[in-house]
Amino acid sequence: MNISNQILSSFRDPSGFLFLRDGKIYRQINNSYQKEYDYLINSGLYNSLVNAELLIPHKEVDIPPEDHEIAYKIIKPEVIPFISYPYEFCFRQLKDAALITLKVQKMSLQYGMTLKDASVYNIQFRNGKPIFIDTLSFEKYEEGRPWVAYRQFCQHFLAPLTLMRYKDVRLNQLFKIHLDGIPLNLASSLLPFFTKFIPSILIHIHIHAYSQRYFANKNVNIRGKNIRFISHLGLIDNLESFIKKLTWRSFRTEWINYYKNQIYSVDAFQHKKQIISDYLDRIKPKQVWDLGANTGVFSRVASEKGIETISFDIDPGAVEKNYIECINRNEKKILPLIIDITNPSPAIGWENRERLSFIERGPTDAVLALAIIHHLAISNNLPFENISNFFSKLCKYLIIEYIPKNDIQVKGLLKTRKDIFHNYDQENFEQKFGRDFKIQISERICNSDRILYLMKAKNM
Amino acid sequence: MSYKKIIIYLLFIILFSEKLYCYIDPGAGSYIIQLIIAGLIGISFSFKLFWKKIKKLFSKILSRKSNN
Repeated sequence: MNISNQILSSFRDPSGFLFLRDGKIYRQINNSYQKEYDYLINSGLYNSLVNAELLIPHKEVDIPPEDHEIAYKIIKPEVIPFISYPYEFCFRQLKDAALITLKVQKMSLQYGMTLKDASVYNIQFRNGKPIFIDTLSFEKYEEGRPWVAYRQFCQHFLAPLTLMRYKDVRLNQLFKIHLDGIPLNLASSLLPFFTKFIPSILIHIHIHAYSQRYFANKNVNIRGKNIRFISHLGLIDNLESFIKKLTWRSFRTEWINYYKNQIYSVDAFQHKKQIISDYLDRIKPKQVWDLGANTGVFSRVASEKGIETISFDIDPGAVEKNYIECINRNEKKILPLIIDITNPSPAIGWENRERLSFIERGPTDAVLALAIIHHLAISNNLPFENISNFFSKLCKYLIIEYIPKNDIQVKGLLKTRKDIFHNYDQENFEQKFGRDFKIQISERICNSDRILYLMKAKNM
Repeated sequence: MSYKKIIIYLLFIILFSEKLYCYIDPGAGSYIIQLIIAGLIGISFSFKLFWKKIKKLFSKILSRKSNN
């Protein structure tokens, strides 16, 4: 097997693996998974899941397998435009991912199958909605056998959701350290004491964590200890109804009222939208990344043109609001995610290759960097050349807003710190960005001193 | 945490009366707690389904009456 073609996110699964050939992603199904795969297709479960938009559709293809000796079939799954990870999800995205996992499990049980994994990494966002992407996660249900993925479900969904809801919404960042979900003893120790009086949290997390510790390395006989089918369904129903009721309403985060407190006049705001729209029409990108997107007002200038738009922001409240708007408006072309541009998601897992870093998931066609240059240069002390260099790794085209020092936002930032930013001026900005980009066009936003640039990366 | 210990012991005694043997991995706690939880939830879930059926039956009867 040519291990270099294998995509490392799937190497743990003996049933098959993902591989890359000629820039396309395929999945090899191994002989060991033949029975399960055939049952998935022939039982009608695959069709039902795909029709309900719960499972990623695939086509069986006739190409030489990556590993002949163990190959049963090669399938080509539909491509996900942008791979995202749970440490980038807002609360509602993780909740929706949990609910879709349970829906898939319920439907599988109806067809005599069950999920052997309940990993949050098996959920991706497509057309604005979460979808299950691992076609090899299904196995035949054996009467009486408990749900083998129950522990994983609690670690990957229930623990982070309850921590985000009852402790702090930023705790999904624990996923960056704990690859296989949040350990239940950690969740149990972090959750507030009163959560012990919430029955579902008491049993699925606190007592579950205690039970794990209590029975570790103890001699117990589990032979013949089965659960009835109705109890299995009851367990799923209990998890589902508890998660459905979980809501996170605290929108009082730093950036959430950004547009309400805006310094733009209505004219300037509309003009800014118009310039961005014109620039996008010139370059016609297939995909846009909006960095520092807040609740996605300008991301929608791109997504409403049918461009795949990833709307990144550091603030979980802004991303939550953005995602809820996507759901309410049934938007298919925009994906809000949590990213701190000054410390973007690293590559993690085995060999640092299981989950891709932020940069590795690029480059993209165009980046929108609107009203963030002053935060990077002044709040974070980043020189223009470093910012320019970073953006040149991310995109072919850059639409960037320059905010001059006399702007009220910059003045605000300088109120609490010494002005050591003597190079922060338009000339230096253009000169430093000019090293990595060719400035194609620029336009001043009316009723303001802010300037919008369209630049093309020299290295692409 | 002693009340948790008591709950586990009680549930364990109720649900597992035979002697326990054979080594299982640290995931055993998850397996066992699932048996206990699912056992208990199963009972209430059966009631839930039963109640749904009753409600359905009554709504059918009531709608028939109102139609008549």
